[in-house]
Amino acid sequence: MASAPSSDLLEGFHKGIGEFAEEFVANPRYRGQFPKEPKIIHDPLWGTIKLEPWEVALLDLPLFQRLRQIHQTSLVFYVFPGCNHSRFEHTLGVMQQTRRLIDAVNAHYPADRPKFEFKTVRNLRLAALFHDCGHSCFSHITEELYGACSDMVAFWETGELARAHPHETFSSLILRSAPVKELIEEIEKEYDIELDIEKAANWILGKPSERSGKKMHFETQVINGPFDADKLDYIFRDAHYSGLPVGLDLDRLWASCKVNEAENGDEVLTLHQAGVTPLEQILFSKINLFAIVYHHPKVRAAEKMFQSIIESAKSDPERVCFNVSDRRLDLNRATDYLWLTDEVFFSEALRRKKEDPFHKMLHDIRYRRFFVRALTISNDTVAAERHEEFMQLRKLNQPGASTYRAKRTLAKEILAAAGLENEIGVGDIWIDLPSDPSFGEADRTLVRTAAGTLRKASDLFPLHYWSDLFQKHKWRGHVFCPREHQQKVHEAALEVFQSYGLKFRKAAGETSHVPDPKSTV
Amino acid sequence: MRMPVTAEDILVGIFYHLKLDQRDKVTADRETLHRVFYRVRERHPGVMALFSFRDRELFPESSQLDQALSNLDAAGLISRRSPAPRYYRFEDPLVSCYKKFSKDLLRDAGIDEDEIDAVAQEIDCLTTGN
Repeated sequence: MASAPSSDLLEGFHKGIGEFAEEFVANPRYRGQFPKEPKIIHDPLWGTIKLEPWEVALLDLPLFQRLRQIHQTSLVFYVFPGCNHSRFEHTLGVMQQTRRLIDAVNAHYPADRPKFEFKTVRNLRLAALFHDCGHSCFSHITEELYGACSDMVAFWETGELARAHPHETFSSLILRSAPVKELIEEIEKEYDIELDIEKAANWILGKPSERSGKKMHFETQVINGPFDADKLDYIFRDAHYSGLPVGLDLDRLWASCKVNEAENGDEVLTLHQAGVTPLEQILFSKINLFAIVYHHPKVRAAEKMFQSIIESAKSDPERVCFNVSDRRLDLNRATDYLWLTDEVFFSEALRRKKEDPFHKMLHDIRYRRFFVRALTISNDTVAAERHEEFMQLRKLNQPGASTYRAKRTLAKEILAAAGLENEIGVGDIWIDLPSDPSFGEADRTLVRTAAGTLRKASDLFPLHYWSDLFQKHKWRGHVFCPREHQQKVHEAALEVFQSYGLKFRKAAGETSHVPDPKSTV
Repeated sequence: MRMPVTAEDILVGIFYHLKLDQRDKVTADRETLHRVFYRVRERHPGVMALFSFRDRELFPESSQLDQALSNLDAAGLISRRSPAPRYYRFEDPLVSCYKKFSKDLLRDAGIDEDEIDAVAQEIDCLTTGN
């Protein structure tokens, strides 16, 4: 596709946000009367969640109801069957955790001088409600794809908003959109309340408000911080539904949470030394979730198959496309991903005729006929003396267009070396090198010590050992392919990697369950 | 195929030049490293273009820097061994990686060796206070 000039891309980007907001917020067909009463919702994790009438008025919008159609943990449910929870449940959970965190902090201050004033609490709940409304199909898998679209890149280059995750950028822009602003004005009048859209939209991006030249980080940190409401909910929720037992002493964490001045005078959330253990538990659970759940080889294989379909939709939209009512989605445009939900994705599987190759691609995911591993790439399978070559391969786990292209070129080379060009396409071979999870939370958390000083939490527990062990012994990359070509692709991958000076032990095939594993050591 | 130049190659180049200057280690304190790289990026936006930073409450953070350090560590080019996990030690494969791969990749990407050396000197000053 020829690249459009930046101004056209930007115009299209803003138009795309506007059209989405018009349909999912302003469409009169979906607008009812404003509710008069609060609503109680029962959540399996947190119990009773109480929503104010103005929150219900927003939650009832298609903008949030569509989150029921987006799995929280991509295609993980095909491996961990309990993981069927959606972004909708998570959003409610974040609203609840926002309330609990605020109440716990305010409990440390006189009732007539709370740290979080009433208006701030309301705006934080608004931010919590909107924080994930920009997610697309299967959550984080599509995020990588629309984050690389030229219209999104052009928007970031304007510097108009602080750099953030792509879905946060979308959420913040949707909250700032004209249809949302108009509705919020109506809500303010109806319920006689004031809401600050700008503040809430900035908090979603992690940008703090300022007062007398000081940054009020503690407000932002409720939504976007080292132990924010979002993290507390997703770690608990994902672990619960995947069946991974975690023990998080949240009550202890809440009880130790206060607001203090950092060295530069900015105000930040801090933990008492006694509250560090729950933070350790959170980070330890996060490591386990990545190692056991999110990076499970079958999950990654399913995600690559999904990526293959999206790649086809981008390069050959006449053959592979998704439709929402009469709108044909153009997946070269970031904003069109907002229309794509898991339901839209799978409904295409039902609409296609059996003879259509796209029917097979979609049903292979639907019925869990996933790619298999042809090679495992890890510290244990790469020949020990090949440090330099291993680094050159491993660095391709940096997100970005150039590393993505390099991995696709390697896949083409493997396809050619296997002599399978007439049987399968390059979309059937994937080199998967997951990025490491970030463990920066411990460096972003200040702890009040018994000596009355503030120290970083990372000074108090051996986080670097955990991350070392993760990247050296738990991190695994793979070459994936269809089961019927596993042996050929295994041997071809070894050959291609050897041409780059990289040698593998037999374990690379053994751990991938290749029938006749080879070695190049 | 030629591998793309990434943040790892920049880091290998910087550490190689530090090693040339008889430095055998650099601080592993995450805050110091991110702060220093942020400052150096402001002064050398061309060389450091592959590192982007996100404003955080205590210091700006670069996910590319975190990932690159992790990759160099995992591949055995640097290490944080006890009893001094406060430093990343430069291991021998760092030098061979620079000579075999990163030097050419950086040159082809239009990144001058002298500029990498200048960045290395600044990082040395900022991390050691010398």
